[in-house]
Amino acid sequence: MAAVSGLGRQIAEITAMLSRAGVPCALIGGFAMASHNVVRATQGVDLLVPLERADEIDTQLVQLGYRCLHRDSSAGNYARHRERLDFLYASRPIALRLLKNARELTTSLGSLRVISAEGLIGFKLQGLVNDSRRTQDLEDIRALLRVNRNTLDLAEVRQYLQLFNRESLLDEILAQLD
Amino acid sequence: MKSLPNSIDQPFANDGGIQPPVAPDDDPFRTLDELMAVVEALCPVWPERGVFVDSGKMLL
Repeated sequence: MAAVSGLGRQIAEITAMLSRAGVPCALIGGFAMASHNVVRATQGVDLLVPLERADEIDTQLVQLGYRCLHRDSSAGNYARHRERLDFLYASRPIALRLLKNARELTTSLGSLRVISAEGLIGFKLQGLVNDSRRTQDLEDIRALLRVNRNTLDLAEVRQYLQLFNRESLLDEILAQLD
Repeated sequence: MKSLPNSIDQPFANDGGIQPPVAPDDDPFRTLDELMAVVEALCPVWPERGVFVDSGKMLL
């Protein structure tokens, strides 16, 4: 079934482009949230891709009509009219492992690879720690823990929070869920 | 005359004011795609989405 929303068509277009180019990618934003049973409106597409393919991706995106708003060794932000497309570049061992282990799903939007719920919580926390204005990330962490509590590997989640010295946040949220 | 009581529903706002439940057998991507089709039909003016901020804590 073809996408019925502009955002759905955008993600189908981008993931098809990356697939043709042989670039591994994984969803890490609102669409990844959906795959972990938290469906919420989202403003754009967020993808994890290898840093070493960033130049190639940039060239392809320009051909699709996107313009680069920002790019460094950690992330790239692109826009096309009202569409927004954001990349997180994997270069460190944890991100590369999460990208490699992303689950491939057959969906109504085509074949999509999605980061694990544990990894998604880690990336949400990283976003929040680096930019405290990203309050939606905290709400997403709460929702992911609430909805997936019985299936999450909490030891893995705890490792990510320890990395950012925010382990107490996990205990706080879990206590609220009890 | 009394006004209607305030709604306790979450406001439809920003990047996630509504969270429809997902039935276990449904494709959540279809659910989100259909949700976004409705959202887009309402022509929302999204808050400006800033660019990436690195505060030196990109550890993953």
